[in-house]
Amino acid sequence: VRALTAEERRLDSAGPDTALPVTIRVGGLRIRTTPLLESVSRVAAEGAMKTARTVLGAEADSVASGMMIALGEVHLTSEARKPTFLPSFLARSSGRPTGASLTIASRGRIAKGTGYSWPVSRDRFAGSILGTLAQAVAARMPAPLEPWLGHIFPVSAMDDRGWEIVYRDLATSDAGVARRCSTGNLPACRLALLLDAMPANRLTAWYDESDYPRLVKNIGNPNLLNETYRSRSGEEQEACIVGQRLDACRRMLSLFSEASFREPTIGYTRSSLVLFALETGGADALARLHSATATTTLGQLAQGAGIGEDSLLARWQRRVADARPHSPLPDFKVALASLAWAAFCGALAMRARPWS
Amino acid sequence: MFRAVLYAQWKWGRLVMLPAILVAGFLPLWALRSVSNTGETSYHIPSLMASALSASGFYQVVAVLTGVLLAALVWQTDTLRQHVYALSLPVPRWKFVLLRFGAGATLLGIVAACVGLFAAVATALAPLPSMLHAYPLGLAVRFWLGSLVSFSTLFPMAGGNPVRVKRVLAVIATVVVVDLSLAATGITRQPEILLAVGQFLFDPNGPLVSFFHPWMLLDV
Repeated sequence: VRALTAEERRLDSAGPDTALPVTIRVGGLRIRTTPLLESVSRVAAEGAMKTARTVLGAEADSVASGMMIALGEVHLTSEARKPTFLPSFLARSSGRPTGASLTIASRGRIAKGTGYSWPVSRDRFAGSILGTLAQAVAARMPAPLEPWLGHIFPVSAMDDRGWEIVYRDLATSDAGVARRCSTGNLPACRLALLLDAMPANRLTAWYDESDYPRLVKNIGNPNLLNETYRSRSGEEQEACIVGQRLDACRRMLSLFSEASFREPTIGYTRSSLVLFALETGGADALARLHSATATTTLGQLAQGAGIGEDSLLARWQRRVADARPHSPLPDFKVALASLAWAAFCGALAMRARPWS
Repeated sequence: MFRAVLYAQWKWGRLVMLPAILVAGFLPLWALRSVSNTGETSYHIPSLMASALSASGFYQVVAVLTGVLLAALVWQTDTLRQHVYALSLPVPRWKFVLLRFGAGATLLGIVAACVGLFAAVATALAPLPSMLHAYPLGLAVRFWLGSLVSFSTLFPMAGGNPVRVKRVLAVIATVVVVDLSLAATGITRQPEILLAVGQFLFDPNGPLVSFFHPWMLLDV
């Protein structure tokens, strides 16, 4: 820690240009870094911008031009990263960095600061760039779309695997409303995706009565669990979860606050609707989304897509339903790799002479 | 010849195969237990998926154990009798090994077929919700591939020259110790050889790929 603090002081006193002498420009993105990190920075930035451009088009460069990225080296003494049981004379210093520090400023404000271990992962660095881009793009979106997105705009296109995840999220959700959405019930989709105003009673709006025992038992939400323990006796718990007595479940659930009931779908599923709207709307969809005048989230997305609200939702639902995995058999590559390994081992065994 | 080898291996391997088949018969019942007393409309899909996911792990364990134990049992008698029986047969060594390997793969196929059959019967009797589908065939194929991978991994070692196998294991142990020591003393940044081997084994196209995805009896 002392070494790092001294290094920080040295870098501060030397000024930013001395510490990070290399400046890389990829489209609108600027990165200041060191010669050692130049290669990985360039590849990561090019990858991130390529990914973002497939969704955002020219807007990706426009948003990136407001960002300033600094990726510096971190040098720790070799003793600091060695197991403590080793004597100090065994610890050798290679003189190479032990990590890297990343600072991303967006529109003059620090948007992200993080550290990487050495060697710096190209994918992790690209992910950090994309994450900051996602926040910056979301900030340009009109309300109520921007808070609905969770302040993160999807900047990576969704492949077939991504759509499968969305289908799985809906079909296996805790909430009955999401499961009904996966079968084509569009009003349920509106509720599951939180496209309308937040319901006054989340329990009855999102969950079926058959979901109640699971909801009470829910161990995925510590908040819910604590409230459960505070609000009921062991006998009542058993009556609800094991005995499936709905009156006991209802009494317990009535004690929960509205915030205890988690949203029926994950953010990724909501992002899929945005990406689908952009895909449907074509090249100008993002611009239309920026200037959308509708007062609802679905209305704004429909304006971006250039089609009606119901039509957008119905098409999205069909796209999700089409992503249901159909093949029960393992992938061809999986079978091939396993059989190839078996053949290799079998060939090895044929060469063996156990008596020699 | 193949039938004779298959019969001999069945006699040696049934001590492993029969318990594996019994467990395979029990696992679908265990995975579908939440259906039994609640009916189609009131049980919960996430619970069922969680059960199927847990069962997937057990199926994988059973497949690995079946493959490994069968490979060991296949050669046990030959090792005890110093391969006299194998040498007395009027077939070349490579052909004999191939017959043994084929017989092992067939026996694993029988276990996998039982896995599929039990799964199919259990899921046909259970009132599944419309969102979930049963995949007994996919499960059986995955089980066979997984058990075949573990069987074939141990097969050459169990049937090889014990001295040579010991030497190979000693070399592997030495490499592991040296690689870890180099990393611990800072000469290398990380255990490079072990990481390379791990990367090969856990590559999406590597030999263990059949274990990466859950073997789901039920899925969406």
